[in-house]
Amino acid sequence: MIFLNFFKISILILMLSLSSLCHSNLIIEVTSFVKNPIKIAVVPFENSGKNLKYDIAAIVASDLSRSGQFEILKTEDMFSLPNREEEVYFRDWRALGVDYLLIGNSTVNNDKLQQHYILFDVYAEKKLLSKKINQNILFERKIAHKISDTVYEKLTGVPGAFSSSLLYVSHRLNANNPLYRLILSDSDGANAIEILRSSEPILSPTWSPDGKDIAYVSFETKRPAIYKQRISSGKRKKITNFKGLNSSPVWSPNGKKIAMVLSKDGNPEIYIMTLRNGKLERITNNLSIDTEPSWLPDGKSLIFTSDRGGRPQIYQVNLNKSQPKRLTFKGDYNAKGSVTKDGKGMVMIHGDESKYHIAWQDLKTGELKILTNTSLDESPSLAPNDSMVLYATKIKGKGVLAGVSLDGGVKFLLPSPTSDVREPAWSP
Amino acid sequence: MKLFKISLYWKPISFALLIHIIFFIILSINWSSYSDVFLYKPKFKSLNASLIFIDKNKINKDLSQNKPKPKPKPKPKPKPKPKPKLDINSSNIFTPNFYKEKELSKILNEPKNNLKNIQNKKNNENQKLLNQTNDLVEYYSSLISQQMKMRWSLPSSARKSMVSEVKITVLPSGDIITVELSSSSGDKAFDQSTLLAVKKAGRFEFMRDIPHDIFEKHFREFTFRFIPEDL
Repeated sequence: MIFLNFFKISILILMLSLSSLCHSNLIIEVTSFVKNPIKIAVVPFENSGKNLKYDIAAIVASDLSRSGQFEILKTEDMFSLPNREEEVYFRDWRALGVDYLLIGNSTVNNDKLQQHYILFDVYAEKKLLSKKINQNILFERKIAHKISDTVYEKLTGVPGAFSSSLLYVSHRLNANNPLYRLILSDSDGANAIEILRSSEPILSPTWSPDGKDIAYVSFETKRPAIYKQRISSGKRKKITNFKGLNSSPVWSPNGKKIAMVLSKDGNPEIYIMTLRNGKLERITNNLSIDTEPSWLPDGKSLIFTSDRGGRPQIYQVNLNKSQPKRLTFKGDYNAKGSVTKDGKGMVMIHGDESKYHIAWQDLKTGELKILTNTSLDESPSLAPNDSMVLYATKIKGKGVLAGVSLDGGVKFLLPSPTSDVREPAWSP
Repeated sequence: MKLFKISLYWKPISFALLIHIIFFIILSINWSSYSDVFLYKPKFKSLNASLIFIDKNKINKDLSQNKPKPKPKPKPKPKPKPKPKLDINSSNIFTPNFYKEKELSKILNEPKNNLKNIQNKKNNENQKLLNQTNDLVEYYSSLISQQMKMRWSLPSSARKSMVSEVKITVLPSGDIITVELSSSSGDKAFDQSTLLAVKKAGRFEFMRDIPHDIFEKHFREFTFRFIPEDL
């Protein structure tokens, strides 16, 4: 924790979002970095043909910078702006202290964008990547994120998550006329589009493992009900509408079932619904509250939050209905756990003395690490590559989304200019 | 004494009396008409132009039945039934999600009468809000009426029974975009005078001050009913 304070080089990149569909997009600010970031230069790409709407190299640079693991060389500090392999002089880049160099050029033909990019290791004077992408010009930002993903994976060994999407709930603060909107955006907050609007609360958006469907809880009928919605068509289906609570839907890793919380039998319990036939299976049976289910990667057990021991703590239950096993013991509030894909650890909300932080717990050793220094954290959602957690928090009384890396070294903020945002869900 | 015989003079006497009586009658009539003039108080023609809201069913019904229109009063909007809300996010105090959900499940699973209590409480709050809104609507409606009255001059053909309705659309700035006659009085000059009154008004400066949602709901489009009174 202490080393963090040294690296609070705050205020960095303002991802100025480009307007889309009348939405004010989120703005991303990176607030802290890893100790020894990878130094990389991203030279502005040359473009021949039709003008592009976006600066692809700039999007790649901001993607990499937002991950917190890269330090980007400023364009004005570059000695030259090469766009082709033969224009690169490695000693120039070595002199600038750059480890890696990314160059590229694009041509546009009849709305087809051909993007060529090359990644060099400056010290080894070696080509690491040389790839071409052909895409419709409409997907400029997607192309940029794809390049970021490839470069990120090449240099860190972990697949990038820049091509993924976010879901979040935006809430207009107006007591007379509340408005909840479910927003889908790119992972950098751009291209925000509204996919649901209601005057009643929308909660717990969640993704299917294939990223094609989402589920959420909506109070549009004045009572909570769980809905499933196809993103591409907008077609949706109410999948539960029981008396009492219907909440916290989560897809199983194979996409065939949804775990959820229902209080139709008196108090909140965990159920699993098979989507094909709507059949319900009750998992917990306890007089206390059992909620916030989350699947383990093998799909054979769940973790959930329960106050059966007096205080909310996280428990694990095998689906063959063995006795739930308590996982968390430190602090008087541990909730909303989700396990990483390697099954080694989980992120959760850890509360102690009315301070609620995102924390990471090693599932083998039980070692607990608090990742955030904001103290009103909620709704952690893991990035598809498990490198980051996106969560909701409050800064100056306003709901904002924030991200933190699993080692706590990298932090970023996604403040929305206009409204309260909460309940983030990172796509697979 | 025979000299003074009344019977001899009855003709001139009765003639004289008649003349006197006539004179007095004429005099008294004149007097009374004078007193009227003195008592006359300058009286403005009192007009009643009032704001109404479009109630399409009603207008259609009125047109089909061709009945004389009832004396208009600013109609209060039919009060929408306030619905209970389960607001789980409005609180300023931070409640961790687990406790929020616990609270919610309690509310949702409580026996009905308890739920009703909560609903009643919410209803009262909503009612208060609604009353405030109605007050505002009434206040701004009266401002509009005043402006209209000041600018409405009646044509000579106007009769007491005439009523016409004008539909007006305004911008939030108060500028009038469209004016159209939605219900005619049957008298062209009368209709024209009402349209002219709106056009003369030109813009309602105070519209800027109306809260956005009230403006959208009540004032973006409204109907004005012109009724001359005391003709």
